[in-house]
Amino acid sequence: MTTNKDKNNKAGRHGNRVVHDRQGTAYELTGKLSEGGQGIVCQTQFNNVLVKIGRHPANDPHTKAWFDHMQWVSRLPLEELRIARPQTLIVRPRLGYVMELMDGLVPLTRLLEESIAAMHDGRGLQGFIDSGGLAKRLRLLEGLCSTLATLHGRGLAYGDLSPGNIFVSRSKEHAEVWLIDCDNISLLSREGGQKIYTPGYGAPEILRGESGINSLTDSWSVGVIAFEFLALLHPLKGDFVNDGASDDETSALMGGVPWVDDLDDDSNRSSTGLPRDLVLTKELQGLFQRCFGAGRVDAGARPTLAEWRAGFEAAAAMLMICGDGDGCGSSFYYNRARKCPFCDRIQDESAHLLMSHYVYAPLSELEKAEFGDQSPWIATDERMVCGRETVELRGAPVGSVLYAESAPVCSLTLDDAGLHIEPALGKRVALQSQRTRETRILDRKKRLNAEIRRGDYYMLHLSDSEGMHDAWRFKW
Amino acid sequence: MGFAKYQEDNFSRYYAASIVRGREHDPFVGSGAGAEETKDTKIMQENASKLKDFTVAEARPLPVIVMADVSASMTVGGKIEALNLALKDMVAGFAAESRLRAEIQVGLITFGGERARVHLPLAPAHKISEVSPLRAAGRTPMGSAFEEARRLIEDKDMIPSRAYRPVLVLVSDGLPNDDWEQPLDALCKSERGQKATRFAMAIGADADVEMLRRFANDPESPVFKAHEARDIHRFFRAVTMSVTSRSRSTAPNSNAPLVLADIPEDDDLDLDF
Repeated sequence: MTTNKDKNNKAGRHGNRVVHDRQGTAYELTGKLSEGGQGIVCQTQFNNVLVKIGRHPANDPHTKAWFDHMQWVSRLPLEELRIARPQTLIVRPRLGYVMELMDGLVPLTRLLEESIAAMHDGRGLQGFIDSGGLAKRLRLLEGLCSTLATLHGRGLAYGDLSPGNIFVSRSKEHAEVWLIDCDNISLLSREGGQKIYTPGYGAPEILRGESGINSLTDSWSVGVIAFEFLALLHPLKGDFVNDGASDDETSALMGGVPWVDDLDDDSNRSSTGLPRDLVLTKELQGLFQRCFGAGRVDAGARPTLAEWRAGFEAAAAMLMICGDGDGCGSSFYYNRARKCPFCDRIQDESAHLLMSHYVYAPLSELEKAEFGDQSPWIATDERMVCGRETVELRGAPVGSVLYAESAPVCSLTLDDAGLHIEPALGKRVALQSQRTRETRILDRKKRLNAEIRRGDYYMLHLSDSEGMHDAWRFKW
Repeated sequence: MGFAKYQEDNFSRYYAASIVRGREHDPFVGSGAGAEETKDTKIMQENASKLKDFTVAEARPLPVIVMADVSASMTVGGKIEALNLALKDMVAGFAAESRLRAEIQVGLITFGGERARVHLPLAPAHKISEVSPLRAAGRTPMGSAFEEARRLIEDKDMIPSRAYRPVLVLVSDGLPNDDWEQPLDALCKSERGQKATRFAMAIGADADVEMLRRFANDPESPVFKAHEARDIHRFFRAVTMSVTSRSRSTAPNSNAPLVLADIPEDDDLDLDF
């Protein structure tokens, strides 16, 4: 990091820092934001405008190939994706491109480093919590997967994913995710094509030189980044690898060693990192198992980006916040004891509401009747926790691949007055009480008062029809 | 009623008529809580000790050892000044690198006068606050520097076995005038010395290029010949790039040779922020 003093010292002796685009616009490079293998991303005199400039002079053959590919990328259909794509090309004195990026973003590397530095300094999990805790991490990962899932849907792979080219909100409140360094985007391919990667994040088959980039290699990189971000541990750097010679690390990254949580092989377990039960839901643990267990050798076993996204969404839906003023403020996964694993505080029962997802299927002959006397219900495993933040119920349950594209049906807000149920515009929902056996159709906001919360079962139908539909069960 | 609420009540009763809802770690509320402070502190301590149960792995060290000629001839033509500046920039460059993958460490061995000495013991780059300027004087005891370097890289306490392969950098402007052949051989054939990446720079026309060639082992990075002081800076920038690029995007099986930027033309970019 350059200090102000250094800057002042250097100010007098620096050379040319002005570059020009095709239209002749001049950009003054004012600082370095990140550095990749092929180029350097710089800030400019314009807010939100960045320039990526080639590392080598324009006549270098590497630069030529890079620039050609970038021109191809600039013609790709990348609309509506959170990818900072080339707006115009820089032509002198070196080659490069101009991109726009919103303010207040930092590389994901920064958040990772802060969490790890805090652990080294004896501040324990404070760095993890200060950098947004579980809630922000899951939202960021969800956003990242959402962008990549759409990109894959367009037949494109991102390629060189690493914490250095994922830019995220600096502030705790926001969870924007943007990808920069789009110049590695390629068509999905098995053979040949782009083979560039960042050490530690490239899929084993790329390191072995056997594959080009595709959706499965992107899935691997997302898995590594997510695991590292959540558990503060590289999935392949267990004690065996970490304490061993550096040459063994190379072979481990090529897929030669089991991952830290391998189900059958405990030879590379890790004594470092955060306990998985603290930072991962069972479902997420399953996804990581597929990615690094079977997926280490068989790329096809890795989750798709839509599955990753659904996993992070489902996990985020199970978060509780510790305390209402007097807790540690961490977000943590719901547990029956309502105990915050970061500070052991037991949460107020009234501050959270656990909801379980059911499908109401009246026409089928199902034996299991979970609710009511005659009604056939299918209990899915999807659950969610309603806390102090408004929760949106959609046509598909959170945790399903369809959730992201489904329309909202109803929102729930829990506060001191009670549970506010608000159907979306033009939607009708039905609230069924087990005790009174009554079902009320709701077409406007309705509150279940806090005073009557005594542990009766309710079923919130996301429809007012008798046909098959989703419903959420909760105790009030 | 929660604990914070109790504190707030105390606080509002004794310190202010109306308050903004405070949090328990708000220092204002904490200090205003009197007897409750100990309870508060106790909870904090319990938290801290609980949280400390978790550890994260230490980054793998990547040692970079520079052997620098500080014989009297280095005083000519601003060479020693250029070397000092280049070393300072290199250490700063390493310190700014992310330590997620590797912790770059720097050690500096100088040779001038009667024998080589350790100018800067091997230490993590981000913890090196200052490199005291080198002063040039005396003869060129390069053989002694080779011995010192070999002692350092073979020291399992200084460089654990999990470290990345070391990078050795040799910079000289003259002929060694002690017994150097045997120490050079011993260094280059030592267990870690032979695996190390070894770069060399010959400064000026008097340097023993043949000897430096025996030292350097990267076929893609032959001995770099510096003709003027600012070439020294270019060489160290290339070394910095070669070391730091190990954590950056790369293609499979590519190593990181020394890529010396062409002498910048007047209109080329200065990206050394």
